[in-house]
Amino acid sequence: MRIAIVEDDVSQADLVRIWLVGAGHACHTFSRGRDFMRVMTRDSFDLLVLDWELPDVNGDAILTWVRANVREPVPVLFTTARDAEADIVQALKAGADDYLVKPLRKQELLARVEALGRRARPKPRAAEHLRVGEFDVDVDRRVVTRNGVEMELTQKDFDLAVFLFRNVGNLVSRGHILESVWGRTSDLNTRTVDTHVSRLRSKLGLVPENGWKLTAVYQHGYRLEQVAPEQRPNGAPSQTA
Amino acid sequence: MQSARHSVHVAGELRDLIPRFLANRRVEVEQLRDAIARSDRDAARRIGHGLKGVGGGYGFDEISRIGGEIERSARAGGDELAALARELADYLDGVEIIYTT
Repeated sequence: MRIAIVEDDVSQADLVRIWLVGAGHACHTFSRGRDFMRVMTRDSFDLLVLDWELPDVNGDAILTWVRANVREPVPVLFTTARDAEADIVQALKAGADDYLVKPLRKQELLARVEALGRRARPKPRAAEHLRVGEFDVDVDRRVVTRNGVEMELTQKDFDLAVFLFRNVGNLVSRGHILESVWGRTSDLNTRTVDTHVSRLRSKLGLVPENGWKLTAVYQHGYRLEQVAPEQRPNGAPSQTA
Repeated sequence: MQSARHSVHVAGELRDLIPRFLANRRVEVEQLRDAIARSDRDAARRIGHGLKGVGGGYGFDEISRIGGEIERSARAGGDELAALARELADYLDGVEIIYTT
């Protein structure tokens, strides 16, 4: 997952980062709440790990801001050395999905992060198919079919299609797509994303006439959405293969 | 006076982080002493709160314990803060780290 860590204590941030990266996640660290909120207006993450006591904005204020301003339901794990019942209740009522009391324990942190990720974006088991509209994605065989007809896709096209289908309705940043499909260590730039998204739109016919919109959002990224029949151009029915 | 030796077992994956971790704690000892000199109990409380939260994650449970005591003392009037700053400094001087795989 692509995870934002908002934590002002350098040692604490180092610790969380090394544990999460070791578990295969891509992490972005912010030591100031306002820096995070500025980035969050044009970027996206699968999960937020949020400290309570920050020097500029309290974690609960950031949480309230996220819930009011971020349309995608990104899970938030609150971490703090506050352990009073009232503090935990306050964080959960403010919109946190889970709460961990510091000092953190590695295996517990990883397990909670995985659980939040599972709940937010359920993955099909390898043998299962991801079904979205008229598309059927066989994750195990790495095949996408549309109304039963197999689509010709490269490996990267397939990975990109799976990522977008798992995020239908969500605004995902170019950086998010790049890291999720090509990996954190990739030295490619976000123009690669634009090129592949454009190609995938064409290959899969992700256009309003077919009941889909794959929209570029200025200075942010892309959103894949299904279009209701009455909103399609000329009321066109969904394409059949 | 020679500090008592404390052995702490730390996960090997944290080896590269430990020098910065210990350096940051030594900076906090100085910041705590400054806060005590200024009678700034809120600053002392924040330092204690941070220590309490970070120590145990690295395996330094004693740092978390002392941090918790600093936080509690700062809230209660601060009488023990100077002694706790000394205790933390002594601990950092005497701690021996054993890396585990």
